[in-house]
Amino acid sequence: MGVVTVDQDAKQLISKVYEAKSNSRAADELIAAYMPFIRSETSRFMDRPPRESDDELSIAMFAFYEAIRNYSRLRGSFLKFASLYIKNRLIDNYRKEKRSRGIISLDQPNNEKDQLIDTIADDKDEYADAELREATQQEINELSEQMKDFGVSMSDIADNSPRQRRTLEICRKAVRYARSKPEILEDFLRTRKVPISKLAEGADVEKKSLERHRRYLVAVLLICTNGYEIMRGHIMQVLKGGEQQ
Amino acid sequence: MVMEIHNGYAVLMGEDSSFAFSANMGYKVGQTVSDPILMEKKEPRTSRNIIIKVAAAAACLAIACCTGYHLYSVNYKTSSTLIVSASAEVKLYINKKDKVISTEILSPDGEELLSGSDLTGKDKNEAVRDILELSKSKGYISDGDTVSVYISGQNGSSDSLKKELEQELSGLSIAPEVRSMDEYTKPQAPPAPAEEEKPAVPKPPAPGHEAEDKAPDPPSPEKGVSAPEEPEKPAEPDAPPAPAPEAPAAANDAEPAAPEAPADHDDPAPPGEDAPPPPPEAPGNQPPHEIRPPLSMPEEKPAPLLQENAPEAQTAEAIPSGDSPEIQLPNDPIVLP
Repeated sequence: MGVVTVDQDAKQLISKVYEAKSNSRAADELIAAYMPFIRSETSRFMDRPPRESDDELSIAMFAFYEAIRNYSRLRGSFLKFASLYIKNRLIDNYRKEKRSRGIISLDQPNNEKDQLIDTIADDKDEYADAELREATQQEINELSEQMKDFGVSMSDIADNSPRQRRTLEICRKAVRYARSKPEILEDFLRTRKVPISKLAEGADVEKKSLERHRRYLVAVLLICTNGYEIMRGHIMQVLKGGEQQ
Repeated sequence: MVMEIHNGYAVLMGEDSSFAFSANMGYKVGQTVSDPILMEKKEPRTSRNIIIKVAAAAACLAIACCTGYHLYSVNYKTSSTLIVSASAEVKLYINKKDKVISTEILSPDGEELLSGSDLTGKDKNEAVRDILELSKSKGYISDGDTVSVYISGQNGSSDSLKKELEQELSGLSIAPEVRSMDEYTKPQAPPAPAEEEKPAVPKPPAPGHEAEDKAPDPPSPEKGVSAPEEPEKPAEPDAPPAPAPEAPAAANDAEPAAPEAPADHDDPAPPGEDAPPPPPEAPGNQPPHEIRPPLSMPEEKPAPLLQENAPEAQTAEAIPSGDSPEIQLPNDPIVLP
């Protein structure tokens, strides 16, 4: 009887994992449900219970999400698979920190009152930075809402984003062409469809590559339309760089 | 730039306009971060990938098998055979590289000749030379002799082999005579001792006389029944010819069937023989001791000596009179008198 329950639990977990692969809300719920497991794996590595502010805990949670994304039934038990991911990520982080151990942290205390960072002249305007961040947040929220009309989410964009430099350059060429033709962008906003054929022909790139990264093109073309100056400014260096060439 | 945050991960937009998942190290939406921990995306195990991998593995296996077979056919497969026929006869199995794979001794002298020598791996000409040198050293051949070499297979022609051997054997003063393997005749084996398997079956008695004979069955050859006993066919007057199938019935009737019918029961098996002694064929000649039944036959008590009346009558029923070739075995179990 006990064995049957364990098997059922395992099957239920696997089905939840598969749901979380494509649904960010389901992924968030699964991570929240297995926080005790994530904490326990982290404490095993750290030899102490992790605090909320510990980077290791954030890394372990991210590793758990990574395991969700990369898991398949052929891999066997999901928890063992996730445990391996968490361990590997924590080891990688430890090695990275070990390499930068000789570097002095600016957050270390300078004297009783302040830290080392306080001795450095700061030209930044924190209030301006906060305002900028708030405006950026607003833009991003608007962008997310508009992307819903096109049936895509930020996670979809991240999934669909080109990994290879060559493919990324092809997509950039198509976006540059679209920016040079305002009628294409208007058509895109009106029809809510990416004009793949026109972009491929106009930018002289492979249509197949553009097809494969359609959702990514939705996000970048939207950013290129009016109302997203901050984000456009963030990626404009790259887009301008191609134009200058 | 942090575009979206979740429980455990965030979505970032890079300055190169790429998007990626990263660890959420306490990020806020809109924040610009540096040196994030990005997700490593692994290729999913689609059925197409699995098929490609399996096909690649199968291709590697096929290549390995072909290579292995090629190596085998060149190095270990017999491409031709060569028989050196001096006083000692030796057969050489040659591969495509003209190297000796194995040897076979065709005559007793060959065994003595090659004891302690290993021709495997040697060039065929060199192997022939070695054989002839050994034969010469043991006195099987002498200078000026002609030695026959029979060849079959694909490695070169007889002429080219002859030239090679002449060159190789030039120092030995022995002339090789190369012939085709078709011309080779196996050395005659000494006559085998008396056949074990088919000892001469004494002809079973004619109908009516079978009781006398207790003609043996077709022998149970497996028991080495007195082979030496019967070097020739029996020529017993008491054992008139009768069809063989009769014998079992008769034997069953009369006495435990012997594996063979020593028609010459006058010359019983040598006492040392393992085989049971031949059954007595004639009443008068029946040895006084009990006759052991052949191993293949069920044990039955020995039938009484043949008498002219009842046994014959019984057996006569079982056997059609007159027409010996066709015997009908009785269906009913044999009832001993």
